[in-house]
Amino acid sequence: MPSTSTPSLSRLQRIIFSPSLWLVIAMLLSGVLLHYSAQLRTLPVPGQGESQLTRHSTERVLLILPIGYAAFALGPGVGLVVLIVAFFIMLPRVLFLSPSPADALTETIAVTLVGGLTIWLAWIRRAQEVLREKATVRLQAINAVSAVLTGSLELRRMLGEALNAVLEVTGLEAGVIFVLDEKDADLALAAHRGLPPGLVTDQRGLRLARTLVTDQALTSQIAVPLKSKGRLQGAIVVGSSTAHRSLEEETDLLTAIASEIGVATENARLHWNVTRQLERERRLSELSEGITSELELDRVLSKVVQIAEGLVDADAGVIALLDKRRDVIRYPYLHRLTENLLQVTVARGEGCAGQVIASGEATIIEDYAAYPGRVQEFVDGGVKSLLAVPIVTGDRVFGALGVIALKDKRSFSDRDVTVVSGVARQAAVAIENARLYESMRSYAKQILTAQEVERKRMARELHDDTAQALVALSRQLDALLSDDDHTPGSLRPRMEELRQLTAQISRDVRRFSQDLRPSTLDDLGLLPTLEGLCSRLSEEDDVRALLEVVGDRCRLTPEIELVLFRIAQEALNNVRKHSGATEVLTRVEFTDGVVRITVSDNGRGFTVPDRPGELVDTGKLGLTGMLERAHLAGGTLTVRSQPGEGTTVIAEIPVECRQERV
Amino acid sequence: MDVETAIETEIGPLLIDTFGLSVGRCLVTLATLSYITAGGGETQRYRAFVDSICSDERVVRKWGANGAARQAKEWKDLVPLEPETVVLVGQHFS
Repeated sequence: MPSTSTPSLSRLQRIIFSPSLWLVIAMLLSGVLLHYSAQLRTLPVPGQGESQLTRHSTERVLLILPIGYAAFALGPGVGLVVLIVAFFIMLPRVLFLSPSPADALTETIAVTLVGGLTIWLAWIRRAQEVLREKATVRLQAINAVSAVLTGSLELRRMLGEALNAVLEVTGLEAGVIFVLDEKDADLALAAHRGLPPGLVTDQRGLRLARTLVTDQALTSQIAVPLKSKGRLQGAIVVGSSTAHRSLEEETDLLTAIASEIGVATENARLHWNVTRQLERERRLSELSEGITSELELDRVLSKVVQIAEGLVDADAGVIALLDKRRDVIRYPYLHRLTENLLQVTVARGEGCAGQVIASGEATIIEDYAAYPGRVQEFVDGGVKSLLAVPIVTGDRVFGALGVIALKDKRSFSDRDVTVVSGVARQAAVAIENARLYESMRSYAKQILTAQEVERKRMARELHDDTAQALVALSRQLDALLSDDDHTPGSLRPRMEELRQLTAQISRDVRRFSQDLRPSTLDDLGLLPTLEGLCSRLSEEDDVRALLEVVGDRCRLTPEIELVLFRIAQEALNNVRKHSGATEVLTRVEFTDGVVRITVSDNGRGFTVPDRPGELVDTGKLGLTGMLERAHLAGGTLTVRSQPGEGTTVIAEIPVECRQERV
Repeated sequence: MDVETAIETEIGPLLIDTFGLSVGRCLVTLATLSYITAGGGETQRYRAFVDSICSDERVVRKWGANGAARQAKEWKDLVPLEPETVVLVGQHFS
């Protein structure tokens, strides 16, 4: 609070320069002139000849006027001074002049008592005014702080501005505000002013709080807890480095302000919690979306670890999976942990993960180094505290998801357990989906492999048996036709037809055999086989088919060559059967780690469905097969087409070259 | 023993050992708030710190009222009173 000496001085000046004071002085002088007119002989004496006592009695009563006027107009203090002056005005007459001194004394005392009563009334009125003024000042101070508190929901900014306002209204020079963290486990320094530079070494910490409040900057201090609905939120300490006597009103005012700050702190905290909850929901929704759109387990689970970690403000994360085949627990997904842990395995049922997997329940370990089931590699990796929850769907437990504190030991709340369990459920769905997808892919691969084996067998049989038989038949027909002695002339035309038919069937069988599985693919590789396909399309179907190769040619694995060949074969079949194209370009590009085949025609084109699933519905089974083959090889297939604008099919497959040049 | 040493080597570890990390920390934090708002010298604040812990419902429930009071005395004895706050009891003045 500001010093009281300055207002007292200004009040005295106000009184001295007030016309009321001079009016009071004039009244007193009038009293003196009236009361002692006979002795002064300067004024005509009213009521000469009347009883002197009666006249002086009236004059004494009149002296109450300046006392009352001074007390009300200039304050009780001045009224008291005037009372004393009036008393001394009356006293000489009582002592020396009055013919009835006893009566005069009685009247003088009565006038003094009435004057005193008047002053007391003025004093009461004055006290009420002071109380009103104080209440107004207090309200103004509270309003000033309230205005600051309602201006923002950002806790530190709000408390910083509130502290400024508090220091301004209290006139003190230094202050700090501490707030409790969410779990009542620490105090954060939310705002500070007027402390020596270098004293504030951190933004949180109990020791820091204890150090700051005992600093010399706060030698004289008022400290009040911040509360909202009876719950502690923190504390405010204001003070000065010099001696300062705290008044009760100051403490009351600060208590009222602290209550406002406590409520505002809780509101800001609630706002922050709502914001954080929304952020959590957004991230969980993002995770769900990621899980439903992503079937690559590695990517999903890496994301799961990071999201769980972020949601509970942990330092690191890990997923432990149960390897049923080896009956051990592995840690294949780590975030911000040393990669050595990837090699660690523990027996089923051991370690925190083992316990969580066995019990199916969340576990919190606040001091991991002291945990009996600790895994030494994790202790060495700096794990201080841990929350682990099971990754489970239905009655199947896949593993455990753990979030970790590395810097300091910490506890995890029930809300942390709920949030991480929610993420773990999503992880379980991801694992289940990925496993189903892997089974499906494996099944599809097996079907395609079986199909290819069967095709190869059929192609070989057609080539080795049927085609050879047809060649033999054709040779025999040739022989018969050239045997003039034994072949009747009437049969020759029909035999000639038969020979031509046999030759045609032989060509068809060879072509069918080539389509089923060209032997050049196994013998010479992808590019010569594609050249053969293009040549045949040009020769037999009147479509100008070109093959272009870009980049360093190389031989690929038989599986990849087969996939690329089947995709190109299907695309060229579509050109031949459906497109009505006159030209088709097959371009093979060898780039770093990827082979891209692009088949573009100038045919009639078609409307490409939005989703791959619609290809089956619209009967485009050939395209579906190409897509499946590309996916099974870990690649992609893109189809671009519009009615009237031709079609382009692009397949990209990740590869490793087996030899540099072919 | 000074106040910080008493808190960090005696009080904090015992509370964490007895009540676990989260409750132990919570008790020390709330006691620090009492320390901040107690006023007076470091020793008086320390005594408010100890009283805050030993009057906490969780502590009383665990140690009982007598046990908590005994522990409070033991902790208070770790940090001697400052000279100006020493109260002489039972001394006869002539």
